[in-house]
Amino acid sequence: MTTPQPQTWSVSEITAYIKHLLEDDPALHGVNVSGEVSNLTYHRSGHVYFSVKDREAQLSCVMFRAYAQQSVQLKEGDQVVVTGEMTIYAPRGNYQMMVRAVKKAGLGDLFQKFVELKEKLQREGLFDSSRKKKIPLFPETIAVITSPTGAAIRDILQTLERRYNRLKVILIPTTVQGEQGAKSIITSLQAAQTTGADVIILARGGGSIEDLWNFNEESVARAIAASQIPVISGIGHESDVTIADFVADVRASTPTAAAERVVPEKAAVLATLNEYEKQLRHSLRYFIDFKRQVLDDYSNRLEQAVKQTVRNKRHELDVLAATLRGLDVTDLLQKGYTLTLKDGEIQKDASAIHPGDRIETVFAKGRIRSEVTDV
Amino acid sequence: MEEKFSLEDKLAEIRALVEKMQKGISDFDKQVELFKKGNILIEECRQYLNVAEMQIEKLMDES
Repeated sequence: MTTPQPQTWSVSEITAYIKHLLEDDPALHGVNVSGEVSNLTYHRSGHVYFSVKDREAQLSCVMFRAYAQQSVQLKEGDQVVVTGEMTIYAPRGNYQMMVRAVKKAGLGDLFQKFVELKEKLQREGLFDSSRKKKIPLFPETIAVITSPTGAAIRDILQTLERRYNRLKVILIPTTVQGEQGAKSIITSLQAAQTTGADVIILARGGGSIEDLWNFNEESVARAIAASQIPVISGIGHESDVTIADFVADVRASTPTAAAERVVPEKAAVLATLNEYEKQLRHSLRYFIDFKRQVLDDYSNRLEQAVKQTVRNKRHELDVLAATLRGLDVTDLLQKGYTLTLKDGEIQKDASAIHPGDRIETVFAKGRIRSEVTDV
Repeated sequence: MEEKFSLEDKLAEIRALVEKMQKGISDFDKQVELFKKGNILIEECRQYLNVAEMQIEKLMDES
């Protein structure tokens, strides 16, 4: 029995052959592999490199940028199910999985719990808009319930400071993750009631669904509902929605948004007030201008009226003066006429005078007395 | 105590005086006396109106 001379392959040839074996096998198309994430690298390029391992083996994985952008955030130790194609990376002689999607394992259970609790609390009316408290327009004191060392408090303080810095912020240091989380959040919510705060921000930075799980616990939801002070929730990233968000009086998508929700109200109100003030000033000015014009008008009419009165009186006086001049008896005397008086009275009829009467003759200048001899 | 000048009173006085003279007064001296008095009253009123006019102008300039 002769054995055929074994064929000698080049490295490229054998690699290409294996590549075909792998990639052409329908059983390896769209496979799901479960395991734990390790050696995780988010590369600058946007590609994500990691391994999925179990106790005995590990599988190199690459998730290209386009898929990574749509994927949940991974971290070391995550239990995942990856879906993709098996392939060979020839330059290194590695086989690897080109991952198209990652599902976090265990999510199913948690999601089920989430849905059940949500429905239960909804039935109880804990999410009803009628029991939502209004966020005050001008909060002076804000209690922030979050970790003193997390990204959330940093984001909140930065936002508040940037927007409006005259707020009093009371940080209630709280564990917002892990087994102690729920208890700590409840204790902080109770403690916040006596701080005199106008509003409470309940916040936590982004994380996995497990990290945020405290905010999906029934005891936390009930503590939020019991708060006498309005609660704004700002938990995780925009896409994260927790039970706490539904119970809170206002849901903000992130800690930053929660801070903005407290302050832009104020900024908006101030802007509105400024606008009112401007309008008020404007209308006041208009009012004054208008009244001034009316006053000018009155003033003119008053002047005309009083001047007219003076003119009228002057005219009346002129008429009287002219009449009086016409009654001047001495006028005729100036022309050479004389007047005859008897007992001081002007005489118009000679028959009233008898011989022997004493009469007086008035000239323009001087008078003479005489005795009548004949009539 | 000096009485306040009243234009209307003075004008009424002049009117009455003129009417009285128009009806005719036989007493010559009385007539002359009334004529003089009328002229004095007219002059007083003219002065008053001059002052009033000046005051009006001054007030209008000030406002």
